[in-house]
Order: sequence, then C-alpha cells, then structure tokens
Amino acid sequence: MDNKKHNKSNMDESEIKHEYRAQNEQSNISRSIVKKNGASVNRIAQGGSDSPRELLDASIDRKTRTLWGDAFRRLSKNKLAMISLIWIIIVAVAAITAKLWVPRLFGDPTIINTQLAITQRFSSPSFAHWFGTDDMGRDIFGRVIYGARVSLTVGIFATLISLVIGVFLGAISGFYGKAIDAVIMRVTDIFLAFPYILFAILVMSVLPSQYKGVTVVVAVIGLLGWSTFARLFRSSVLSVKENDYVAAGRALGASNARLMFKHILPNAIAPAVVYATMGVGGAILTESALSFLGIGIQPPTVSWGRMIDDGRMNLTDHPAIVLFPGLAILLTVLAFTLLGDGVRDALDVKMEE
Amino acid sequence: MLKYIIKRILQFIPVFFGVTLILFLVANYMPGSDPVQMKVGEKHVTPELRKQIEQDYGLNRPWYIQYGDYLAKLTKGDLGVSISTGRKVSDIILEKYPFTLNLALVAIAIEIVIGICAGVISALKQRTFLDVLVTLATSISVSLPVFWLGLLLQYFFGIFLKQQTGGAFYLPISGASGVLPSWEYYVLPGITLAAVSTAYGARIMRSQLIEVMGMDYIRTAKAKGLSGRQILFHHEMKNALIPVVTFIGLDFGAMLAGAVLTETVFNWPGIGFTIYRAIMARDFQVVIGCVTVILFAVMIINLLVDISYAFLDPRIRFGGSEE
Repeated sequence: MDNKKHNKSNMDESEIKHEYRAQNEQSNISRSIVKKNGASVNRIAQGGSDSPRELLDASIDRKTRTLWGDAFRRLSKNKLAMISLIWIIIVAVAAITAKLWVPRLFGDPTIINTQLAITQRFSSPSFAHWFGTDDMGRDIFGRVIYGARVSLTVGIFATLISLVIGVFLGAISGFYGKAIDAVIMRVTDIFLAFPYILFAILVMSVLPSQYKGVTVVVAVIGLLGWSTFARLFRSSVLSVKENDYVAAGRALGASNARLMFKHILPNAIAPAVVYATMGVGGAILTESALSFLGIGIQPPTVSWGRMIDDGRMNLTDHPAIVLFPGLAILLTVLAFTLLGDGVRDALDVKMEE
Repeated sequence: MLKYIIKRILQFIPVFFGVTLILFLVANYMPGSDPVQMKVGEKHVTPELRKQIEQDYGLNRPWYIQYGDYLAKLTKGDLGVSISTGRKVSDIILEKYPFTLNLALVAIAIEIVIGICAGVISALKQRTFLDVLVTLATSISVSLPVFWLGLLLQYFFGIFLKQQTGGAFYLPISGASGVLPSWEYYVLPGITLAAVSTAYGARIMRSQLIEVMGMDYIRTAKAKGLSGRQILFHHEMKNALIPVVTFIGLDFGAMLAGAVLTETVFNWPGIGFTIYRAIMARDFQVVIGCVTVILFAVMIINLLVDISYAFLDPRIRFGGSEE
C-alpha cells in the first residue's frame, strides 16, 4: 500500500485518473484525491467507505486546476513578475510595430543623412527628440526602439534553439540512460567547460563580416548555450521517470514516445522553462556584448550594444548616447530575470506547502 | 578521496580533446571563413600565394593530421605568430597575463569582501529593508551589461567628478603602465569586473546561510546556550561558506574570460584587450591563441576547484560520486 504523500502538483488530470484506474484494477485500494487549500491531499480509503465511482467523480471535479493553471495564478499575484511581464510586452509591441511609426516620427534610425548629421548633431533631449540625437544627428529614442527588435529576436530565438537542443539531448540522455547517456553527458561536459561568451567571441571574430547578421548571431548563441538545459532536463527526467504514473503508463503498454511526451515531458519541463525565461536575458546580454566588441550585429542594423560602442567616443561631452541604450538593456534583461524568478516561485512545488 | 580525484582527472581527458577539437574546427573549418585568408589577415591572396601558404602551413593535409599537428604544437606552447607584429603569440601572452591576473585578483577580493558581507547581512536580517535592498541590488547587478557599467563608472568617477571638483579628485579611467600600476588604476576596472559575480556570490551566501540556520545542529547549539556570534562563526559560517568558496573559485575562471569586455572598456593592457585589438586588426592567430590560453586556464581552475571541494566537504570525500 502506497501511503506516502504524493507530489500531486506534478501530475495532471489524465495521469491521476490513469493511476487511479491502474491502482484500482491491480488492488482493491481506492484512492481519493481531495483538493484542500490549493494542495491536493491523498487519502487512502479502504474499500467500502466510498464507492469507486464517487471517488472517480471527485477526481474529475478538480479538472479546472492544473499545474500550469495554478502556476499562472500564483504568478499573476507576484507584482514584480507582472510589472516585468508588462514591460516585456510593451518593449515587444514597440519593437514589432517600430517600422510603422518610428521612421515617420523620429526619422529612419538606420540611415545616415549627411544634412541632419550637421544640423541636429548632439541635440539635447526635447519634445521632438525624447532622448536627444547622436553624433550623426539620428534620434536616439528611435534607435533604441529599433535596437529592441534585434535584442528581443536574438534573446528569444537563441534561447529557443538552446532549449530545444538541450531538452532533446537531456530527454534522450535521461530516458535511455547507459551508453547513450554517457556519450551525451561527456559532450555536454565539453560545452559546460568553457564560458560560452568566450567561444562566441572566437566564432564571431573568425566569421567574415558579411555573415554577421541577426540569424548568425542567433545561431551561434543558441548552439553554444544548450549545455545547461541538457543537464537540467536530464536530471528532471531522471526524477520524474521514477514516479508511479510513469510505471503505470508503462504497465498499460504505453510506447516510449507516449511516455516521453504525455507523461514525462509535461512534468519535467518546469525547471527548463524557468531557466529559459532567465536565459533570454542572458542571450540579450551576450548579443549586446558581441555587438559592443564590433563582432555582433553590423550597421546599418541597429543594436543596443553597437550603439553603446558608437557613443564611447563622445562619452565625455554626450553621455546620453551611451546612457539610453544601456538602460534599455538593463531594464529588459532585468525584466526577464525577475519574470524568471517569479516563474520559478510559481512553479516550485515545495513553495506551496 | 583519491578515487574521486582520479575520476575527476579522467573526466577531464575527453573534455580536453573536445575543447581542442572545437577550437581547431573553428580556426580552420568555420563555414564562410577561409583558413588561408586567416593566415594573412586583410591582405589579398593571389593563387600563387595561396599555394605557398597551403604548402607552408600544411593546410592541404587531411584534417586529422592537421589536428594532431595542432595538438603537438599546443603541448609545446607554440600558438603561432601574430600577423600584425610578427611576434610569437606565446610571448605576447606572457607579457600581458600579469595585468589580467592582477585585475582578476582585485575583483576576487572585492567579490569576497562585499559579496560575503552583503549575503550574511541579508540572511541575518531576513525580510527587512536591508535584505530587500541587497536582493534588489543583486537582481540589478546580474542584469547589467558589464561594459555599460564600466562606461558609467568612467563617466561618473573619471569625468563628472573631475569637472565638479576642478580636477582635485577623480579616478583614472584608462590603462595602466608598468606591471604593477598604483592602486587607483584598479578601482574602476576592479568594480566593473567584480559586479556580476559579487551579486551571485551574495545570493549564494544568503541562501546557504539561511539553509544552514535551519539545521538541527544550530538548534542544538542555541539550546546549549552559545552566543549568537559563536554560533554564526563556529557553526553557521563554517558550513555555509563551502559552496561560496567553490563558487568564488569557479568565478576566478569566469573573470579571466569576462576580462575581454572590462579590459576593452578601460584600455587595460591585459589578454582581454589584446584579444579585442587583435579582432580589430583581423589578427586571428592572436585571437585564437589568447582564447585557447584563457580556456585552458578556466578548465584547469575548475578542475582544481572541484578537487579542493572534496577536501572541504567530507560528503564528497566519503560519498564517492557527485550524482
């Protein structure tokens, strides 16, 4: 008889029913799942007190509460995380719609107009130029908004690449174990052994400049950053694999793919999701560092790191050129960091008890 | 113990070959880049010159022979020759590394003092204003672009303060001459390099101390009437510090790598700034050589830290493996 407290929030509805049925078929122990104060409690009822049918109904009753639903509810109560999310949405909307309004209101941030470079060089912040203008007479606010396009694209897509590779390798490694695990983990060790910014610097500096577009930066950061995801996901697969519902699924004849995608993946993905949220900020920082060194995004594409590099020469007299893109990086990365903290707290099962 | 050390060293072997293989592939077989062009920098390559270079460097041999050759050269410390200056890359590194090392040591000192203090204060004063302040400061620090922080510090302490005080008080914002420049040159680059890791150090210190404070043996110590200070220094800190020490050790490696940005901002004449200038001059032998040396420094430091961890923490010494 399994009397230990189950980690219910780790299971979703189908698993609970699944397990319920499996248990019921194999032994005469019926189990009710009662929802109390947000935490589900297992009650072992000896046959006779409740009819199995009622117990099944009771478990169906709590259909509205799932792991992700609960997590979202908790996240929405976290003020810092919500402010961060709103900030990210504002930046994203501004970045996506930038082409529609920035050139009309503030001039095209990507081109150098020789006339403007003379007439409105280094103008101070004003109603027409919210953050002032740079050494080429370009509006800094408009350029910051354009820079958001690159930063968010690189941050999100590079992290997605890392996440997919890491989760894929981690899943295979954790699920199959043995030789394949050993091989994948040794490769992961290699990628964990060096600080990946250094390798990104090496790769980007070796590449000829005509290749240094957004796509290549995304690919380089994404391909170098997967190792932590692989480690993380492998260890959560290893712990989820031991759960009874996986054994139950296997006993019912579920295929490996079904076990992986329906049972293990949804329950093991949480740490990787938390790390990915924070990882977007990390990827944005890496991209800005590469662009600052002149080996990332190349002009005329606007990127925050490159803007800071351009402003360095005039730091003494016009610090605003350096200040605003840096603030944009800081606030956006901070938003992803705090949102990540919030997601971690919301998904952390232990927090609930 | 010995078993653990041997196991750890054996694990290092595939990592060594993996990292060198990736370095070799990046240097020679990067899609879109031309190894012949990389040997001469910007210069135009005529077909005859190309043949000559391929002959000289053995670029037409199969890749595994070239890789073996590269490994053999690496063990001898031969990292090639700089195109722009004609000097041996190993000589350049020997000349520059004291600057990088000194700066990293200063940053580690800052990290130890400020990081540990902030972490301890924030753990002891949980849920007070100070704790919130430390948490907020660490969140901001880990989100800072290092190079931007460096420029802000330059502007405030080097330019703004100089203007305001009429040149009476300011901190130097760039470069250092002589192998041991005077202390004020270290302040701004040191803070810049230490910022991110100090924040992580403080976070780890805080969480470790809070965890240890909840242990049974701390309750026992309280019950037998030890003073708060005795408990903190003899019981809590002793145990909470182990992961922090490890983190700081690992961080030392990360600082060598992070030096590229800090040194570039402050024109600090170390390996990081050398890498930056070599990138600008398309002097690939220097870039690859310096990156190789830093990578190995990082890997060896990590290995040493792992081994010393076993000395510090009996659970690893007697437990056998980490997983």
